[in-house]
Amino acid sequence: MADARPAEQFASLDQQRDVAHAGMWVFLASETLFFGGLLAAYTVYRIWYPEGFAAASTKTDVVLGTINTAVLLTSSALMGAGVRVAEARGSGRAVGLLLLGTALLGLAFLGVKGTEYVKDAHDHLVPGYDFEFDERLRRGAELFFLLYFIMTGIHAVHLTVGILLVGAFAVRAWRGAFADRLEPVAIAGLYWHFVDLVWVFLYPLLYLNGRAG
Amino acid sequence: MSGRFRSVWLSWAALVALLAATTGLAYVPLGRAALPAALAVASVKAAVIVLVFMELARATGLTRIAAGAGLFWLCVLLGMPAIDYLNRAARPVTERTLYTSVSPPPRR
Repeated sequence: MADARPAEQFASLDQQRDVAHAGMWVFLASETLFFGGLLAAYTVYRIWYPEGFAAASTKTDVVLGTINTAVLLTSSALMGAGVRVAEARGSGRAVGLLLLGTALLGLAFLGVKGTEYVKDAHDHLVPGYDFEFDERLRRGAELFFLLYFIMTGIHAVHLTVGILLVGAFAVRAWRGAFADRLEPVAIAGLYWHFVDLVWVFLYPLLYLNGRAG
Repeated sequence: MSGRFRSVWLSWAALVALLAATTGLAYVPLGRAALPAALAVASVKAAVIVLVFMELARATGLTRIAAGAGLFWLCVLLGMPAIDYLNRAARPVTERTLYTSVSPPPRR
């Protein structure tokens, strides 16, 4: 294994790591606000249409949503393990396998989400296309499902990017591309965990609201 | 397995336990406390992910400022509309008023 040395512009490996992480966090902060706009829209309309939101939320598939949450949390654990193997200068093949597992769980999530979309369409829950709901609650319910599709859709787009990224990194790690450079794996990990983080908040807002009543 | 990996698996176990907790809590009739309870559990999960998986716990000041700025502006983004809309007297014609209100006929 080659000796790890910082790139020319850095004084030390620690500084190089610090700069890479800080830069990624700046990007993730902007992503936070990107999703924040949708969360703000959700907040406003949930305040205006509490009954419609609660009624609509119970029409989502809580079993599939919960399974998907567990799948994503597990993928994050595999990613975290992969980053730690890389940082401990462990075998590139181990990193590659852990990243492959991460990407496959991401694919499983998309598969389940796709199943849900088909089910939603079948249940006439697609606003502007085929939406049937109790007329008294329709306004709020339609807004809820509009936000449901936009939020989960944009999350799925982010996850797709993550799957491509982590999948490509899995192959490169297997071939030993990161033996003397640790940052790329950790930075890809930050992105993956962020996508997981977004879902942690979407799950209670979209699936759990109104279940008790 | 050294301590580095132990923290990952312990975090995973904690996250799955919290997921079970929040799913269970959703079926308990908590009324207005349901949303704060769900968001509190989500926030604990988020803290585990950010501090352990994203390694913010051992990050330097520069990285923490970048992450903290994201959180700060998110709070502004969500807080200000919430304060506004929660305190408005007039709401749109909602499900609550649409069929139940009996308004007097307009006077000439």
